[in-house]
Amino acid sequence: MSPEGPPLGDKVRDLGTTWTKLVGHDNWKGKDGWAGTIDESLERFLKKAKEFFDWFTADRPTRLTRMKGILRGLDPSGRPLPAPIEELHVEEWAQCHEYFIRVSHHATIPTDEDFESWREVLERFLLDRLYPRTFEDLDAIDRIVKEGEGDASAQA
Amino acid sequence: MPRPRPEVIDKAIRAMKRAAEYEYFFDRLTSPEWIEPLFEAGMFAEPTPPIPEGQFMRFPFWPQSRYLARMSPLMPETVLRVILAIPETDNVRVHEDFLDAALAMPPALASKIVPKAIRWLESRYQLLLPQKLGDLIGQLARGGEAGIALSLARVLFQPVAEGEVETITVEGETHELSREPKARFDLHYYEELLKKRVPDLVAAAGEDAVRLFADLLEEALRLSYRRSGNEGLEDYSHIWRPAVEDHEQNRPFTVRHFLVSAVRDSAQYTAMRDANSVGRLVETLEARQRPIFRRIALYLLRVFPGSVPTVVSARLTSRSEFDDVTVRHEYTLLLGERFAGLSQRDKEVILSWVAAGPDVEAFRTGAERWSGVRPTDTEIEQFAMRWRQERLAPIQQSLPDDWRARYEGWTRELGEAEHPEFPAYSTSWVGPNESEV
Repeated sequence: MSPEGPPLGDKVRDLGTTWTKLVGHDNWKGKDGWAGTIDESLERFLKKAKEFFDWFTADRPTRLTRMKGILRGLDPSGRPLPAPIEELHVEEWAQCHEYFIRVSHHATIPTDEDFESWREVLERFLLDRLYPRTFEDLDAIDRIVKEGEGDASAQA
Repeated sequence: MPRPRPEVIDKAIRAMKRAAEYEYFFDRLTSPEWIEPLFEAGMFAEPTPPIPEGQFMRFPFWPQSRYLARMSPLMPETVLRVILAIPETDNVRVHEDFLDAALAMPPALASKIVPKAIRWLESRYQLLLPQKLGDLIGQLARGGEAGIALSLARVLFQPVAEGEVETITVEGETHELSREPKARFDLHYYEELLKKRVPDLVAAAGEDAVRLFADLLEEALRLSYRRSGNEGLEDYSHIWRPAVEDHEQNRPFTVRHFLVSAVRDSAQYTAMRDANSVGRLVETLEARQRPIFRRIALYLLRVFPGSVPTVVSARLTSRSEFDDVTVRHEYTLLLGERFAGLSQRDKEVILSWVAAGPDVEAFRTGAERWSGVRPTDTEIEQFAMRWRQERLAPIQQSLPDDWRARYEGWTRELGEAEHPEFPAYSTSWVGPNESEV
């Protein structure tokens, strides 16, 4: 049976946003908890909630952060890409990930053609990182640079 | 401005799958027209941060900042605008690239980067940053931006305190040892940059440059001692800097030492450019209370004696200068060179002080205090004779006959006066171990 609605992690993160606002309130006194008038039970609950959100933030990175980590791990240079490029790659990976999850959980019944095109996207994505075609890729960059600088000189 | 079309920018971003391609892309760009569209696409939004590796820190190159440095001569205004919009980073290599870009800009534009550059100097890690900032000071000074060049020099060469001032207790009395102020960067480069930039700053700012280096020296002296009561008084410079001129007695080399040379050289360059400035420079230096400034003023009077002859004779006939051990070296050299040119009256004043001799009572009590034994009359007589001989040694060639006869008599008895221009002279000997001879 497939779960309905957003994943639990998303719901917790959503609640976490509200929690962050609460601890930013004037009555929240850091480690000492809530300074306003509350009974002991609620105070104990707030302390437990704080422990939970501290743990969640440290131990459960967002899917986006996890994906960035995976993609960075695939680049042997270990050097990060600029945010716009990295976000583009994360988005591409996330789309593949979501598609195959939906297919494997039978949330989508794909056509052969559709599945084949996504398989090719995934394969290309992985091969670009695991078996890069260095010379072809750099030639492609050279062509783009030439095209862009041709634009500039043509317009000049 | 002509620039690459948005679809080309999009294609470029999609083509960069790994760091190698992204770095290659920026290295291949030869036109500055990419800057603005890439900036709008967010490619300059996040400089690569330093990477901690164990107990060390790695500073990766940022291809974007290298590209900006390369494009700066071609489109300096755009490069400047983008650099100013890039968020602060701790990556020193990025700072270096920005400074390379600034060095390729017209000085008026480069000056806009200085407030950022001053913040970069606070970093613990600096690599080649000081040298590049030194170059920027030169470029700004030569390019008519004297004020901003002085501001940057004030921060770059600022001495900083390190550690506590130590004290020692001798016979129940606590004495403060001096603390050596540090430079913000390697001392070797500190000396080199000062030497290079003093002429540029003097050419651009004249006496303001002298005031800057005097301020920095004053700050270094202030940091050397903990007691506020010491401020404006003693600096013991005759011990740590026996001679204002370059001399083998001057060692070891420290920030204070290099700043003394910077004040001396900046004053000297200023005087060379404008002989009328000597009097003002002497006045400016003497207005600062510490002896080192009076010593530099005496040095300046010796090098440029013709500019203000009345000041020269006034200093030589000042009893306090004659007696002051802290200015002995510069006073003695000035006296040696200028005594012959003094008026007869001035010569007689100085010779009358020599005739009156030293304060033998102070010698007697001092010797007794240190050795515990009261000096004999012969010892006191010898001390007075040596004192007179040392005072006359620098002017022996210009003495009247009767004084010269006396001087020669003392020299026959005592031998030649050794280094009379120094209150204390250090010597060392290097040779084989006695047991091996």
